[in-house]
Amino acid sequence: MEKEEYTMKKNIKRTISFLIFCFLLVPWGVDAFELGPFDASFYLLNQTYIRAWHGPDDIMQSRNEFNFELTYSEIPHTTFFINLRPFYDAVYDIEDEGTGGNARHLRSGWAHNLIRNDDRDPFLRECYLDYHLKSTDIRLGRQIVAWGKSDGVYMLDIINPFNYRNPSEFKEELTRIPLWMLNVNQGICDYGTFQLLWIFDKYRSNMFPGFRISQDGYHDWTFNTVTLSNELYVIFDDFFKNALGIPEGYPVVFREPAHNFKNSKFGARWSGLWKGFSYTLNYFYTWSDPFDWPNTGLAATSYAIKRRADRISVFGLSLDKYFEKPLNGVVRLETAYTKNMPFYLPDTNLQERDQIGYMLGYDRWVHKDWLLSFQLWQNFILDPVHHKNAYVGFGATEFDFNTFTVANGLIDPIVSNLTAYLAHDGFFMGDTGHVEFFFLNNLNEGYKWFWTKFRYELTDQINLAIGMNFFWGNEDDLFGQFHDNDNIFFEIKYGFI
Amino acid sequence: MGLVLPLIVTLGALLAPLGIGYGAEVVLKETVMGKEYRIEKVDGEPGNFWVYWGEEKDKWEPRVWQPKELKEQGPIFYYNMGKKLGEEEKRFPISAVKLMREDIITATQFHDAYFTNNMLPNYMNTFQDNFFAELYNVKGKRLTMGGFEFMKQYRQAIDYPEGEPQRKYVFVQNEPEESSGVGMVQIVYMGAKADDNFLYLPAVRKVRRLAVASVQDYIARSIVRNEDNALSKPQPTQEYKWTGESGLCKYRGKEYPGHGTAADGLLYQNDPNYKGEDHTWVEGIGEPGRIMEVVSKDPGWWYGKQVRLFGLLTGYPWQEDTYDQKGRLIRQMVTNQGIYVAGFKDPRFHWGTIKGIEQSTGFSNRIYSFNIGLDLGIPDDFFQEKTLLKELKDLNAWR
Repeated sequence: MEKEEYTMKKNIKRTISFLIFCFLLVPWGVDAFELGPFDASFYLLNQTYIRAWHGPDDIMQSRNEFNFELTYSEIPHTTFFINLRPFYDAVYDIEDEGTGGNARHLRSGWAHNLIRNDDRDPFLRECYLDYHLKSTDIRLGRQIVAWGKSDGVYMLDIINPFNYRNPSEFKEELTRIPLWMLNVNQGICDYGTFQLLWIFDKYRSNMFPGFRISQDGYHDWTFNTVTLSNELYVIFDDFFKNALGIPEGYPVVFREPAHNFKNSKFGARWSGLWKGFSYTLNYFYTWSDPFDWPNTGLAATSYAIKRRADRISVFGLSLDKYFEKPLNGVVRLETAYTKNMPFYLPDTNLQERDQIGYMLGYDRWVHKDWLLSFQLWQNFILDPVHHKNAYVGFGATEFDFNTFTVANGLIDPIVSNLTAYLAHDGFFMGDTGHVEFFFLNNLNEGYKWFWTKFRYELTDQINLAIGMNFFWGNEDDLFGQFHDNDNIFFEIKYGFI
Repeated sequence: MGLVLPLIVTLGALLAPLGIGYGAEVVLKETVMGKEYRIEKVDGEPGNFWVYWGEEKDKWEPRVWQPKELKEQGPIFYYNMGKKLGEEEKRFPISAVKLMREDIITATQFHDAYFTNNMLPNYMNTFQDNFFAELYNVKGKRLTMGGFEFMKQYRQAIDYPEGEPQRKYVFVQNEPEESSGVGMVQIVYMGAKADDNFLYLPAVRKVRRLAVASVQDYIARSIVRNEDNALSKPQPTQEYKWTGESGLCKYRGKEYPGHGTAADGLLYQNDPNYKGEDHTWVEGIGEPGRIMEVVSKDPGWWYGKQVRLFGLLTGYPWQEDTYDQKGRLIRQMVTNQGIYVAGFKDPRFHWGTIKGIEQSTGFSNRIYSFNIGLDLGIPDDFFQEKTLLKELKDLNAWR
């Protein structure tokens, strides 16, 4: 107990030191012009999530971020930009339940990014050089590129992976993982723009809590299926070592694609305007997230797991147009066809299938200044094994050792979701009050997610926000599994330009 | 002696039409909209002038915030500047101002062709500037907003084909920090065709097509509404008309502690953000003006009537009063123009400041423009979605 108290005090001191460090970095009383030829801006942000309705009343996250941006554009046709974003999540120091209570297993991967975790939340967030000449724009460096016209639906928006440390984080900019790439845009007369991407970064994937087996399901936002896999691997490993006497146990070996030109990701996009339609045609040659392949090719006979990524190709189209009466709104469409995507069968073997998804959206203003938006999103796994409960979803919690199959959390090859979004930016003096509501309803399994946030600009520099997340569904579906994570969250942000 | 005095009076009466009065030197005599517009120096008061327009007479005195050219020339400055812009340097085919002065354009046509609150772009093919706005409530709480904008004109005539682009804009906000990076491309079409609006949100790094927003909405951190913006075309619910009245632009309006007056040209010379030539400006006092009334036929509209005063020589929208459906004054705006623009040898008008007070809320607002660039040749393909994805950092972004 004394040792725990000492560790807790030491960690609290570390947290305070970090905040003081950020405080000292802030150019108090200094404006951007005083940084010589550089334009600068920064913000300090605290996001605290509290589980308030189910389970222990604990803090799930108390993330402190310092974001610093510097721009230099004195050289003609050229701009240099750098964005640093150190963070420290104090939940590992101040909470002894949930995520915080498992600091021993989770701290190294999720607490901060000071000289670590560059693969999910880098300290050097963006760093690029822009060169512009006539119709050519070139951006070289670590950057973020977002494709598509959807909100919260990632069919074409897959250039940069995401950090799923908190899947309810609505501001995508905070959780995208930047990549080193060459991004070239060439305008072609009045016809449109052709974009080429060459992503020469190391292999990077979406990052989920629980990626390391040792993390088990300790993190509050670990998907059930990840927890189940981790626990199974521990069971198998123990069985192989102790029951079968195999010293290697049941290893899970992750082999990233080698970092070379051949393993780069390549993207191409054409965008244009035609008869009022703003459209894009997209192609992306990329890698999937890592999947766990049984080393013998068959789960039942395997004695090791090869965790590896597969090459996939994504072809897509997006378009939008404003329609006058009677629609008086914008209609958006996004569709993507993915070749050779792996899916887990209930027997834990993998099957590669093509999939096609589309999103149809509609946005309009209502009652003068409320923005209302709907999206219908459907995803089809082509040529499935079955038409019901065909593949393992993210919510599985049970494994039947008799049949050697995943016993729940299965999904259909066709998944349909409906989303609704409502926002108002015009409360109080100077439109300083903003409110948003978001609702997702799955039409197959019935799970739901509701998110809301109210933000108030107290001053030009200080923003305050309060919000909530609610999840409904079964324990073995995508959002129902997070029912105990219903939370209230607070944000305080100090920003300066 | 009895004969000398009548002789002097008779001579004076004969000489008066020639601009020679009782010791008053006439600086200008012109006919504007059928009435005589005359400027005379005030005897014994160097630098002061009498301004006459028809039966109306007013005294013009220099103010400390005015540029030296205006102080030196007096109100003839408007005539010189307006003529130079309107007739000698016609870079752009349309002169809505000239047509207004000659009374051959309806108020609706004028509103459509005119670049509200910022007359200079009426004469130029492209325009760019930084803008900055301050909003105050009655307790003095201040909120700011800033950014930069680019504009290109396409309309070549008053009767330009319907559905063709009239103007294209790029706006980028760079303060406050929370809104930094928000950008918009807007394409305004001739006639009833709805604008194309594209919004870039840094939070999602994507460009979104926007439905046309309500013109009655406020522009964030201001008392200005979308309808006031130059982007807004004549609304079908509004009736635009020239009134039979017109008059000299005058100082008016009450004093608001801490904010100056809405309707005079006094601004805050001690404002630390703005120094030098950009801090001098003109406000139209002494120029003959034409009045446009805008009456809303919609009883639910945010106003019942607007009364706008445009300078007949310069074309500037110097003053605007807005009344609700019950005839109560709910907002007053003035436009002040600066006269130095980088890259031009001679002084010329540029958009200086819009000031306003909203009586209905007690909010007051100042919107500044600086780092003006005119006719710099912004290319057409700059005004596209892809420009927003570049996350522009400054006015040189297109070079």
